[in-house]
Amino acid sequence: MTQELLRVDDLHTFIGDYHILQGVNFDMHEGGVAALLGRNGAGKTTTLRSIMGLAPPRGRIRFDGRDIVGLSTAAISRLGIGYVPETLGLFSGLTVAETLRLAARSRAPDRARIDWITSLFPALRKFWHSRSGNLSGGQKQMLAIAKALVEPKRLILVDEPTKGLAPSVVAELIAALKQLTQQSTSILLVEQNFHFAASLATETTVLESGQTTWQGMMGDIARDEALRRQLLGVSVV
Amino acid sequence: MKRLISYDLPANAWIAALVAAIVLILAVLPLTTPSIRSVNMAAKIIVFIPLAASFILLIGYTGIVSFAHTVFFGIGGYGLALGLLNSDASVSGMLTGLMLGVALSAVFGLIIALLSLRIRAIYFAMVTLVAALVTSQLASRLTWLTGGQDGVSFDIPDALSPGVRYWTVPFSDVPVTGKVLLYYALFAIAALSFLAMLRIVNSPFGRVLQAIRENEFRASALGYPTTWYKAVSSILAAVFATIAGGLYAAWLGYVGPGSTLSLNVLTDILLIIVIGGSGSLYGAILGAVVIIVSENYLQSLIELLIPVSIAKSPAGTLLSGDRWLLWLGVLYVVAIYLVPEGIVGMTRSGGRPGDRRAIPGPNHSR
Repeated sequence: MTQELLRVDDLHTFIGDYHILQGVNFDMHEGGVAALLGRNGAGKTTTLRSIMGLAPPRGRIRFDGRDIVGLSTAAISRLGIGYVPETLGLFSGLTVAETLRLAARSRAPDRARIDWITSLFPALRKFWHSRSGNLSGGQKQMLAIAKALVEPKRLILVDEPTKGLAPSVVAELIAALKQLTQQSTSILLVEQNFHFAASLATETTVLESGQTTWQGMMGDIARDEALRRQLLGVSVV
Repeated sequence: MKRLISYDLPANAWIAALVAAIVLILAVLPLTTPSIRSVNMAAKIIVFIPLAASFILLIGYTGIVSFAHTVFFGIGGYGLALGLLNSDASVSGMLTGLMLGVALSAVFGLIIALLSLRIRAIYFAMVTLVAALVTSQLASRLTWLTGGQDGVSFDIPDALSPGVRYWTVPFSDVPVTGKVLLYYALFAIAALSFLAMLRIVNSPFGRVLQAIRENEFRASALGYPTTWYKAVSSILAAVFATIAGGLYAAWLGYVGPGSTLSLNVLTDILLIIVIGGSGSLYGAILGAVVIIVSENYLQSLIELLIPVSIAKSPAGTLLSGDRWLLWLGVLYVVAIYLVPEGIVGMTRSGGRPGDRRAIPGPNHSR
């Protein structure tokens, strides 16, 4: 078994007066893809935001053996965690080139890495000098993931990457994310599209009303329709 | 040339031509006309360009809406004045006073940035407005230091005074005095300040500032310590505004609450960036010209265009030259309605010429 990369223990997060996460527990291993599944409002996005320090949590989050609760978002990012929020987190006034330069932080992006990223997402080459606000939904999603990849990351948190995308773009995205895991980057994925999640993830955590209700291998839940129906309320043919 | 302006060309050829024409006119004006009024106006434009540009750096690039900018302008003016008064009008005294002003402004700029972390949006704007008013009141009351409401008049180094005559320009017969030399010193320092700000906003640091303006959380999720960036931006804006304040005081040979710290100065800065646009530093050049030329010549223009018989009739009273401030207000409202992003903003296209230098592109196989 590969080394544990992320462990979340008894995570509680409040947004205003609302107790959103009421005890989330899961772990994931280095080099793998883990999916956070659950119905709308289960607390999946809040879990990602809590890991990034954007929604300050109580409880324990250990990344690579280090407790990261209480660190600033910037410090958490610098530990090697990239975040692709559902809203994509792009800067509409910046071009594709500027966005990637920004994401590279202090140093100029490595040319070979830029070539690798644009081989994952060829559309970005074409719109290199276009403002990100002018890209299509699929191109924005690609740029959002590319942004998280400019610097080598150990873990990227991806929130609903397929939302609103055409099936052909989703297929491109699956291929790109699969390539990514081969570069030893782990992915924590929040996804409503079960097919998409099942095609990528090996580990799965199911959330319900801000609590972990099940954790196990994706194969188990993908094969067991009764379990899937019980946990997620979905039937996938 | 492109390198000089940090590869940040105005988005449109017309704007670029206009900016070039303005710079050229400002560069030759004191050698071609003996009109003191015109040269004074040009000097005010020269001072207000870096002042408004530093405000754009703060509000347009970092998203910190602070109305305390006049405080830095005032600190620069008073710093230079006190330096000259305490050194028998020596150049070293002038520079020492200005540098002390810059240091004080840097501290104040840091405080403003830290305040912006605790107090958000409109509340922060109101706090900074109060800070500006309190500073103005302080300057009016600390008579022993600032000369109170009357302000301070001072001598500038002899080499820069109007009484010293160097030579006469052959083609225009305009005498080149110390004052003309001072004009070019202002021009050079303002130009260097502007180019430095262009360099800052087009550097990786500037891109982070833009990212913070758009969404601070997203910038921090990329690993940027946004507090540090905001603090440095606020300090830089304060420093450039302070230098502009020193230039203005040097030109006037006077500093007082009315000339540097008043709400009129703040209004001028706001008008300049509303008319010129806050999305690009070039907005400061176009806005400063429109506003300051209007302030100086709108009355004459109205008097020229509207016959006296109409202006003096009861029906034409609004068209009288005395009502120029009203028409300046109308210009302001129309500009907000028609070109909310300012003159520079209205011509912006999807991409920017400067972008091509951001990072080397991928290996295209077109």
